[in-house]
Amino acid sequence: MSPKLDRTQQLNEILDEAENSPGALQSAAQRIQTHDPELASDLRLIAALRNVAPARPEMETARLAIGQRLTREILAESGGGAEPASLRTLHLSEPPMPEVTATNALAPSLAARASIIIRPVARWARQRKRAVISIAVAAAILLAVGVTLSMASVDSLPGSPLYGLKLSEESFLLALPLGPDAHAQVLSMVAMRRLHEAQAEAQAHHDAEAQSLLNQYNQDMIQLITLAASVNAHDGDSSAITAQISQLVLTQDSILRSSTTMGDSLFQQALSASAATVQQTLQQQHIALPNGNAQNNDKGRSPQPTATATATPTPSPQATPTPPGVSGSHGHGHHHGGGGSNNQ
Amino acid sequence: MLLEEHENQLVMRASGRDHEAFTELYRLYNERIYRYVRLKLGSPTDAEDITSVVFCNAWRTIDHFAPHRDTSFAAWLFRIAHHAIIDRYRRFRETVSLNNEQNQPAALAVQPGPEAQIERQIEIDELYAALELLTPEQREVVLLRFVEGLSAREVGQIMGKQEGAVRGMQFRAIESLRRALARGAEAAQ
Repeated sequence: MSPKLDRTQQLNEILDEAENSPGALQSAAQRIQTHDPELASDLRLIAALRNVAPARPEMETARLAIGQRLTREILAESGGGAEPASLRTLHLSEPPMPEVTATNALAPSLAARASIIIRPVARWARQRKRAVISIAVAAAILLAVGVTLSMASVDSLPGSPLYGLKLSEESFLLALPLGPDAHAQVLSMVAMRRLHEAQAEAQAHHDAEAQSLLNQYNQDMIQLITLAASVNAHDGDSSAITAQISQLVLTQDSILRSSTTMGDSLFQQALSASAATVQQTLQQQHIALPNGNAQNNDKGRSPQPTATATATPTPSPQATPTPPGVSGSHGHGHHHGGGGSNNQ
Repeated sequence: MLLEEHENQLVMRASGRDHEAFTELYRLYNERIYRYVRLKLGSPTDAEDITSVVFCNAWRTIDHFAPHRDTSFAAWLFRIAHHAIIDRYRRFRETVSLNNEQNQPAALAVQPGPEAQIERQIEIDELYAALELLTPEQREVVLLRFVEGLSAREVGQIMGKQEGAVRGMQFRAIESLRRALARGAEAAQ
């Protein structure tokens, strides 16, 4: 048997084994490291691939948007009228439930009850009490964010009666006495919304509105960058904030590419100008963004005063082959009819 | 088996238009489907859009899915995602040829990367860039078999291939990916 065929077979066997035992990849890699380091490398790579995931803020934004669209879809089926009672408890936009494991698969409700019954004891040490309070505050914030954002106003655009409600919710969340990371999360969510609203307005050829929304987006980004700089100035860790900024920059970049493909030159110019402003502010505040290939080793600080961020304000349309219009709907009343097929 | 049984029960309830059961399924698969689409399209906005389409289609057609009928719910859902992406590209075929089978990437030079490159955490955009250098079939195998951990049989069902063909592609796919990642890491330096 040729070495390549042998390796293919060996890989197949190890992968089959890994289907039932997730640790099998790593242990097999260790086992064969000395006599076949290349295959051991492949196994480690496969193990690493299973941990690849989108950044948390990106996933949260996606979960909200997808959950809301799905809720609308289900509501539409229910006649589009009043929300059915069972739907009120769905909260599709909320974070996922803890993963169901073999041990709790049959008793999820029992597990939920148990978590309510377990209460902190009054005699706990101060540190633990603080931790409990922090968790409670975080839970309250998450709940507030989840509940308020799952309201129907999230996809509304300027001019819609619901838009005012959306802005009020944002003001409320921004006014909460949060720590820098949580505040950055809210700011980041607001900035992401402005960006998508601007995109939707541009697609509707409402150029003035799109420009105005981009200006607001710029302001939010400047606030985020300033916040990161302020954390750095106090010797804190701004990596969570820079990750949020990085995500926004990537999204902006993606929208810019999409508008380039669509031939929307006005919006493209406005986006490029906005990206340049963001880059300039990043440089002024000495903030380096995580570059996607490595973790930011200096907790969000730029290594040199003149360091630049990784995202470029003038992307190449070929960089990511995004189909025109693919990114165009993002909620805002578009109907996604028949995009896929139900292959059975 | 318990998990599978739990999931089958959810699917059966969802087929009967039980919103809560479908919500549970959505929670179980939302991140995986999003990640799969995100790694195929690159853009978070597009991934959001297509993932919505996938779950809306799944909700509309879940009663066509029968548990134990030779395919898992995961494979069924990924197949909807696979076709949703193809449909989307097909509509814009004149301008975009991302999935064009004729556009095979140039063969990658053998550049086995150092161990450190393989063992470090892989970022999603880095993986997307590396996947772009693979053939469409290799990309699909890497995403479904390695990233999502589906069985070779399930991957075959999604891709419309025999299980044996998928098994035959695995080794070459992971080798190509390793080289593509090493190449990307070198370019970034």
